[in-house]
Amino acid sequence: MIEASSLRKGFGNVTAVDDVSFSAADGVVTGLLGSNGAGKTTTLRMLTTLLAPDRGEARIDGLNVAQNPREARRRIGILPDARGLYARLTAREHIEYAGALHGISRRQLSPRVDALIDLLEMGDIVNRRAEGFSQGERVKVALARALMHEPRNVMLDEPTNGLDVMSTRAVRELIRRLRGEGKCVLLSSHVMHEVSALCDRIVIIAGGRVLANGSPREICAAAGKDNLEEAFVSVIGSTQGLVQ
Amino acid sequence: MIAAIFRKEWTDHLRDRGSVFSSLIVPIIGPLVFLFTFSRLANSTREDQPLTLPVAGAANAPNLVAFLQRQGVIVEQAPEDFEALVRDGKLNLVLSIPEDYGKEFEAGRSAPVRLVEDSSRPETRRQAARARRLLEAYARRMSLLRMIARGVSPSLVAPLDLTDVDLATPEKTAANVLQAVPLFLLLSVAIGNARPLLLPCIVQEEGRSRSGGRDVLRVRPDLGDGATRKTRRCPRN
Repeated sequence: MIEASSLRKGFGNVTAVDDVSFSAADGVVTGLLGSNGAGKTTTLRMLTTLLAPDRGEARIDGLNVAQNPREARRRIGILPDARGLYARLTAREHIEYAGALHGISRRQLSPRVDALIDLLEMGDIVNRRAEGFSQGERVKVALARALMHEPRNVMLDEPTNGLDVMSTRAVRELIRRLRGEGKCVLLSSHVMHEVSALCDRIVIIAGGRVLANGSPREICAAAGKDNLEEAFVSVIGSTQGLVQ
Repeated sequence: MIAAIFRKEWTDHLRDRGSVFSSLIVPIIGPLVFLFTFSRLANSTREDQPLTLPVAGAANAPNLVAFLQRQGVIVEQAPEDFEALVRDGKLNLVLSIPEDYGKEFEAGRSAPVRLVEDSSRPETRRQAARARRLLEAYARRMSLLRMIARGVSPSLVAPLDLTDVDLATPEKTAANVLQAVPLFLLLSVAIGNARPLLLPCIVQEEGRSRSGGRDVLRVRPDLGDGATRKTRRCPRN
């Protein structure tokens, strides 16, 4: 369960996030949809304790992130938009390192790593160093790292950005699987097809504000349009974000 | 936790051949270069090489020339245009003895000698200093002989009898070079190559250079202090 209420964050004269409130429930894939610069990543960074909001509150499983950052961090797994891999470590070492940082004992580490490697079908790259990885392989490693401590809440920043069709399918498959396990999945994207294909609920953000929030059907109904694409254009007032 | 980070940093940085190489090479090669330069320098200042001294008008002061030769100086006949040659840097220094040297010397007056040099050249300065010392020694000896000839004890004008006793061995001098090693270690750290030697700095540096890596570190429950650290980063959407 991830909740944002009246989040605001400015950087100097720029207000990146003005007023963002939404909640993402367990067992549901929630998508933050917005064009570039809409405030998606800043919102995610506030939810993941990386940025302190100027105003408002971020809650993970009902815990105020500002008051319980450690406990909140235990409950989230994140895939940052810069995947943040260490060029000279192998895929396996990345995952093991993440586990070790979360205090998973050595004995438990190995089977968990193997399970994730199977799940993400990355057996062929486990012992290769990250410097030569393709985008898809990078995302897989970063995802495995995010899931290593079995978090209840998973936040993915542009998870399929730059991926080919096969990798995109694999990531979507994984996201559906996480939903099936009852996890709370929050993903951000600027690609509408991505969001409409994956998400049960959509939060449309523009200019740091939430413009629409609901299931695809609700958003269509509220905008008075038949399909999500039309609804999105009508809500956001421009065709930005439709460009792949 | 700390152990895991330490292991990871070691693996990561030991695999960075470039920085391992340079972090080891700078402290090792640095003192060697140091040693080489200094021994070259020491060689050039050492005085066991004979001093070669071109003399103009050697025939005017055979006694002085003989003294110089006894002191190991290789006395050469100076060319006619020695002043121009010294000015052009083709000769280091020339001892010029004018014709009236003998007359003045015999009369017991100060006899003129000229040491022609270009003092802007360090090499010349050292040779000129050696020549000057020898000339002064000759002058001292002559003054002593004159005093003795007049029945004055030389120790009257020498209240002190100073002897320098230097017990340094070449090995001890060389050991000084080892003292340069820590300096070079520090230097290489400052250059930023010795990253494995300075682990605590790496985590910081990691953050600065790779924001993604930092984000992942900072959301670890026991590691990150997240937004409590003042961060003013531009938002990236």
